[in-house]
Amino acid sequence: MTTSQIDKLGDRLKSGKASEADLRMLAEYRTTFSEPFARLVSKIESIVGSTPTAREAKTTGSIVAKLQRERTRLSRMQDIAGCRLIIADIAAQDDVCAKMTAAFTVIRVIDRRGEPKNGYRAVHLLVQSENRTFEIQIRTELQQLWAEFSEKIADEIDRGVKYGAGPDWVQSQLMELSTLVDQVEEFERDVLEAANDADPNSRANEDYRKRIENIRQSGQSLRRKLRDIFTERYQLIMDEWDRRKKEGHNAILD
Amino acid sequence: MLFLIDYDPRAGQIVEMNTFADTERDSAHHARLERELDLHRKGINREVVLLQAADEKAIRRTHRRYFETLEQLSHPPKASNS
Repeated sequence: MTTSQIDKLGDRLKSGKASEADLRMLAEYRTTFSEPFARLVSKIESIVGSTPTAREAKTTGSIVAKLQRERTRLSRMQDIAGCRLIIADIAAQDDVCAKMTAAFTVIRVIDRRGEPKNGYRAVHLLVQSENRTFEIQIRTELQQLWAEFSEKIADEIDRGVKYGAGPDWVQSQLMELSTLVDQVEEFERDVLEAANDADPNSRANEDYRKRIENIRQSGQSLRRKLRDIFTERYQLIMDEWDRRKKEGHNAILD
Repeated sequence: MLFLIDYDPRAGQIVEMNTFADTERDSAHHARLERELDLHRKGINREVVLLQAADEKAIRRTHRRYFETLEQLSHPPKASNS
């Protein structure tokens, strides 16, 4: 399949008038990623010691949506195949990213932790292997919690939420939750760095170790509180959603 | 292990999930295409995705959205095994 054929297929998909032949052609194109991707996943397993969840081909709907949303060509889409790793915390995330960067030809690091996209925080690595580009998503547990929560809201309330659109009253809740995730993770990172930066005498000091341990426990407590806040915000969003549904469709979209 | 998931976003739930051994990749690809064509013919808009993971538990951790309601998602996962 030539690049021109792939991009013409992309144009037809983008128009929303794909035929059965187009879907078969897309399936054939996606299959070309399969074997190189399987080898990449196998290498990731050996590096991180656990199996990532691999999605060897983006769904047809996601490909069409991306073609319509962004000025990209199908042949240049860099996340046709990808995988996801869920990591305990931001320090472990840094560690995994460093290992990946050392092991693979990383052509781009998309670090959305400090600069989230519509509230979404994670690190995505675009990796080149066997003349193809693959995406490795590395999320912490809290980033994952936010991402799944946000996507599910997009499923059930408004798809636009996923791309920063959708009702303001939903967006504002998600943005606040994203900021809270960041604050908890930055707190944990600061604690870790402070512990690592301490001089050997301090580290050996019993009082110092107790203080660090107390701060770590505060971090765990913050995590629990954050999860409670997710539950509260869920209830707020659903109550508001129900209220607006009762008032009529226009109010829902306001 | 491969998981072919047919997910209905509006309903927020899986319509059907089929599993394949890693050695059955071609069958999984074929099944995905057939499912997409079937939905296309019927004019139904759903999400058909093929995922690979060590087991179902791993998929349920990395792709909770397919398996859980929004209410369940707003609660922490039962176990953490990163």
